[in-house]
Amino acid sequence: MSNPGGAAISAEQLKARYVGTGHPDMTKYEWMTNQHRDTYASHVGHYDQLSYMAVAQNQAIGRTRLEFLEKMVQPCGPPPPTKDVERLLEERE
Amino acid sequence: MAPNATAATGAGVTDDDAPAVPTHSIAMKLLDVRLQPATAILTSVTGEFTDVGRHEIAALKAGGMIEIYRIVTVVTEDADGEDDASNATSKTVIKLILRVETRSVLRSCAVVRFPGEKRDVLAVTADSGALSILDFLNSTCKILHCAVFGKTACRRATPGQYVASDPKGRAVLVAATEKRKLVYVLNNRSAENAATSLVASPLEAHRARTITFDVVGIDNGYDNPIFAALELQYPEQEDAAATTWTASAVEKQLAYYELDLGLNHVSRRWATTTHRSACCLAALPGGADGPGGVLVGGEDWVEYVHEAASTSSNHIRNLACSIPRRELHPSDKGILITSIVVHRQKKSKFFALAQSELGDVYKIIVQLNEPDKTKVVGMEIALLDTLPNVNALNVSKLGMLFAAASFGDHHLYQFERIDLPDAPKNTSDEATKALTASGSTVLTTALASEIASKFVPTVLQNLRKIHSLDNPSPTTGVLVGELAGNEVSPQIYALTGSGPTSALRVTRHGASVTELAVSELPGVPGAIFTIGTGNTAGGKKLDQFIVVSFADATLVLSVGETVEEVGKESGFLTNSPTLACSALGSDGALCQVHPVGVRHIQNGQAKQWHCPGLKRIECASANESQVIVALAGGEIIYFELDPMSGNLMESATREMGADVCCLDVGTIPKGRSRSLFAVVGCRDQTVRVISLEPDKTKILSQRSSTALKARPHSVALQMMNAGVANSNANVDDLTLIIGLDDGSSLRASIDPITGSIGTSPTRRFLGARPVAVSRISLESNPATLLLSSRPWITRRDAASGKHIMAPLSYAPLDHGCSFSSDAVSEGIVATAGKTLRILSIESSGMEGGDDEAFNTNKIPLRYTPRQMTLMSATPSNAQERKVVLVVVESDCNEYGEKTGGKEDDAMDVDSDDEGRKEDLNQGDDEDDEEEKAMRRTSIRGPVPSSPGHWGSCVRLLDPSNSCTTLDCIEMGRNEAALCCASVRFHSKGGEPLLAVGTVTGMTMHPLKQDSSHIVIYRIVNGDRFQLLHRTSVDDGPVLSLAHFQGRLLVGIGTTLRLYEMGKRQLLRKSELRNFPTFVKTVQTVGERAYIGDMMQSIQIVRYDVSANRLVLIANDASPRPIVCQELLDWNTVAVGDKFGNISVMRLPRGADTSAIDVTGQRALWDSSREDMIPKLELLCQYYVGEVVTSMTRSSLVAGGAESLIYVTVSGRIGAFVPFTNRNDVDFYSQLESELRGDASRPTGRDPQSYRSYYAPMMHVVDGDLCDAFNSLGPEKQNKIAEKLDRTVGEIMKKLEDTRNALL
Repeated sequence: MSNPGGAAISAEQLKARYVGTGHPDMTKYEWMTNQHRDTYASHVGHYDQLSYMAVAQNQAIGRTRLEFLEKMVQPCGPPPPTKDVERLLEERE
Repeated sequence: MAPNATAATGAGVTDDDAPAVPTHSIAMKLLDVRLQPATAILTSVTGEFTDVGRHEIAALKAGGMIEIYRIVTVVTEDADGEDDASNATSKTVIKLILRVETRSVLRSCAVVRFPGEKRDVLAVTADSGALSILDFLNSTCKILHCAVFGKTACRRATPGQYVASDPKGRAVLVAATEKRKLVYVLNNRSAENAATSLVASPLEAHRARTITFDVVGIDNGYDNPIFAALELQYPEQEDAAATTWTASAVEKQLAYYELDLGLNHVSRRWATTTHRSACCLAALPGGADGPGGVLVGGEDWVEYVHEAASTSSNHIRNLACSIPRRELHPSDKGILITSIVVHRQKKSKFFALAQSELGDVYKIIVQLNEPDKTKVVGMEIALLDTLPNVNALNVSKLGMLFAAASFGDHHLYQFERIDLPDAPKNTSDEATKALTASGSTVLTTALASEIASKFVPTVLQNLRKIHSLDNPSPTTGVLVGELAGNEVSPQIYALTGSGPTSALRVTRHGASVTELAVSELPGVPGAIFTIGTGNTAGGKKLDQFIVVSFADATLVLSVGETVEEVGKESGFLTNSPTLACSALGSDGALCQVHPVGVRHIQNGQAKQWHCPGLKRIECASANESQVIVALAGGEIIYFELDPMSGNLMESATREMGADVCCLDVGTIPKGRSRSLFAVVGCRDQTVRVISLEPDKTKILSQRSSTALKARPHSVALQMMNAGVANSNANVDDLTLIIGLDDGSSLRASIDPITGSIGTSPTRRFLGARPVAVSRISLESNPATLLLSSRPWITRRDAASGKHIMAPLSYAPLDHGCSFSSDAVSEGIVATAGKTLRILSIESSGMEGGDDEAFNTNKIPLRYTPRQMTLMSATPSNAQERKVVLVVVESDCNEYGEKTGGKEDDAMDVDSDDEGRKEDLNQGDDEDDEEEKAMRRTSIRGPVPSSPGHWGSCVRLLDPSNSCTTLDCIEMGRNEAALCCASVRFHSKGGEPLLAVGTVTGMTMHPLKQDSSHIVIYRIVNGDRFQLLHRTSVDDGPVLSLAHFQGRLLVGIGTTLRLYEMGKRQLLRKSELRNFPTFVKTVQTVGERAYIGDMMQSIQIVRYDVSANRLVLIANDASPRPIVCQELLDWNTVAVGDKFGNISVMRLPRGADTSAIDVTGQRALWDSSREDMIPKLELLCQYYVGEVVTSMTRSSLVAGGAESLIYVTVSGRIGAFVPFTNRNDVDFYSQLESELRGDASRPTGRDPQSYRSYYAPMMHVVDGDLCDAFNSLGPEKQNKIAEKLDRTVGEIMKKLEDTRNALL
């Protein structure tokens, strides 16, 4: 991919510009979190889906909207502990 | 929907009967026709849009419509007609002014008033990735600008979710849910030159990993524009991985984004932490008018936040005030403020209204420091009233409050008082004290409930409900059928509403009719007339007599306080039928035409004119000065009243050359002495217009004629009032309406000078009987009543100039004419069989221009309706079967009705809650019924403190008796009925039984339940439930049931199970496990069952009788979260999914032949392999735009072609009509593709890509888009018509015909 000027942009820049851009070392947690954030943002954007879910839960639409936005913060729970091989090795030593 | 019906159609159908043509080669083309647009308003704003000084409401509706409403006061004078001011009653209503179709998913809007302008424009964002600025000057929509900034669709990082405008109209901020915010600087419009565009390129104010909750433009006077954003930044992934963090630990901030107009740059200027649950913002007046800053609403607290007001020294961050709470609300459960609106009054005074999630509306009074009023020193929150939950509150300048309800009707309220000295209130001082005492800065629910003053919600105290807009959203179920038993065309039964607004709506096509009186007649009448006399008080003509003609007699009824029979004293010949009668002149003279003569009654003296020879009068017509009779053989004789002598003079005769079967002399135009034309319908299938000009050479000469396809049955010359289109108000339009013997009607215009009949008359089929037409009056405008096998009414809409035709929702009538009396100013007197009926027509259903006329009856329900089913029952006293309707209702987080006081303390409370809901009339005996209705409000009951509480009931309704409740069983013990079906167990003699699927103590997060049951009821005498037994199932919630092969097929969690009736419970017979997610829908035909999975689309299952096995024979390749399904035929199923798509899928030919293995060996390996299962073919695919919650295959007219009727969560009723011939497909496809380019795009969304939102649209023509042809300019219409090789009129007629064929 390139800028309008023609200069190539690095993956780093790309990642910074477009939310949710993946990379080879992406963890499952990271990927899932992104998916869920996208989903919640889409639900909030579509009024009909929001009201459908609000009716099912017998809630005000405003409450459902807030819940979805709040869930975007950490949709899949706290991150799992890292399995950094080097760190584990260090700990063993 | 109707398992009995599906089972019946499936009986005896096997795959061997499949046609020889391969199924995949049969294309299916559907046309999406909108019957009733979506009614849910997602947000609304007030402003002056169409003209300066007009206070209007712009509402964004689900389904992509922007509507402008105006609050108007209509003054209607009483029927007495005395010019007395006390008699005039004024009614304030909210009226639709303009509707703009955007064909996009609307998301947010903001009012913009450009500097120096006195009128507002609307900034709208949708899923188009563009910001459009719309101007509604003179009730037309003009797109001022459409600035594209991103990709389409409602994406996480594409701006459009929020729009805020600077109060001085200098800039607009568009924000995404996450990260991106764009600020558009608006250029001054007064300096309009070609070089500068209205909107400059956007300035970025992005902030990574930031979720935005709300944005608002701060009133900052003429300083740099500032926008406040409520946002939350989550930690970076790398940091997050390093340190464990919890979502609740992240701070929510209110940030000020300043647009520096000098540097053309946006910066995040200032931010402060707010309480974590904050979710909505409202800006206070600033600059010279007030303190500025924002109110932040969240759980239990409202904060005032402003940069200038923030102090670092004080340990309390922001000024906060808790809200008064409901008595008995759990003290640990927060109450969220979901919307705040600030209303500016005169003299820079202002107040704010906030609504909580429970529906309570609070008034927020901001106290300012005394001398200069630039600082906020305190806040006070007082309870105003309890309203239904709203999506937006709009305070109008006229002291009205428009509440755009989330669910249920939208209401307009009038403020009775706004100072609330006695209302329960809380102040910020109390909050400050409590915070200081607790030594904490955190605004907690516990603290709020400690200091909150308590109240009990009651009826409206300070507001009065003055008008409502019908809103059937959310609609959860639909059923079409003629269940009322005495009507001609089917009714649409829809389950609508939620919680306290729940209702069953019975919708009928046409205008609604109020029956005022019914009385028996001695025989079957042959005609009916009314005679208006000179009593014209207040310009209103009142009727003196009703004349009913029988085969050999005439009955004359005088109209006064009561309707009484008068005998010979009326002067009428009562022993002979009457063919026509009328008042003559203005002195009370009457004229009666009977078969052998014409009788002129003057002052009790009767003069007779006898027919020459043995001839008899066949038909006649009369008005105040003219009488025309037709003799057998085709001779017509014309009489005219001589104004000098007061005698009726025979002035001319003429031979028509054919037998006359009907004629009409017309009405006398205002200021004239006679009607200039008469129309004569002859048996040779012609209708002729003859002149009545007194000139000897012209009288009774034929002016024009038209040949018909059938014999005319009746004719009427109607003086339609000139519409807006005709600026010359003096010339009334003359319209000829002909009712034909074949049950259709024709409408043609007549030239008022020459009398020539206009070309291309509009024809419409009305019913199975010859059509009788007569003139009536509706809202002081002329209209025509057409009676066939159902009554119809047609009139011209004054605003659009279009002719509207609608059926009346009433039993068939034989004869009818207009009726007017003291009590009934505009009515109809009609006969049906041996009864005389006086009716009045509700014309409000005929407004709205392009929509079909529908009228709706509401039957309130207790909880949110979930499903309904039809049952046939046998009443004990009658032999014939009766159809009853069963509705299951359930609400989560709600105490049931009867559980009170038995289980725990919290429930004690609720036992008196129903009493509170129902009869809270405060003992005011003098309050009349109307006053009570204005005060009534829906109040949600107390909220349980823990999840898993349900209120639910099963209700039996009688559709033949205006849907009265016959029986209602409250489930109790937190049991929720979720689905129901009618089942006939063949082993038990095929008696129809009701199966209800229930869950007990179900919670949503996580999804689990204590137990689930299938409950079987018998319907005794057709009016009562009798519990037979309950069967406990343990595999999950029961979401669907269906009659299958004389047994009951049940979807339980991921299992499909077949049950047989047992003595004490149901007996398991066969099952199929491991459906992907949840079995959501089940339909059955013959030996096949069609299973809709909650996430994985349709699976088709076949029952192998010999092996007693359920075998999966096909499934869908794409995952669809199924919401509803409907079988179109044995192989084809239509499904609606959670995203708002409708897809039609078909089983490939031969797929199920290999599924049943007679040897019983292959089952070991074949069904387990995913790639061995045949996949369904996709036939049609279409994005409706709203979640489709229910579908049914039915026809809307008796005997008409079937179409797929669907309802959506936001209240839309639509129909997919299958095309039956190639020409129509070509026409509509061409028209659609032309309109894709030519129809206006107010939000910049391409119609085709909108309809292909989730998946490309396939084989469905967008009827909404085709209807946009009518609203195009004449140039574009001509261009398209040329390309289609048709005329504009032909295209319009074709569009109208399609709708007419459906309804």
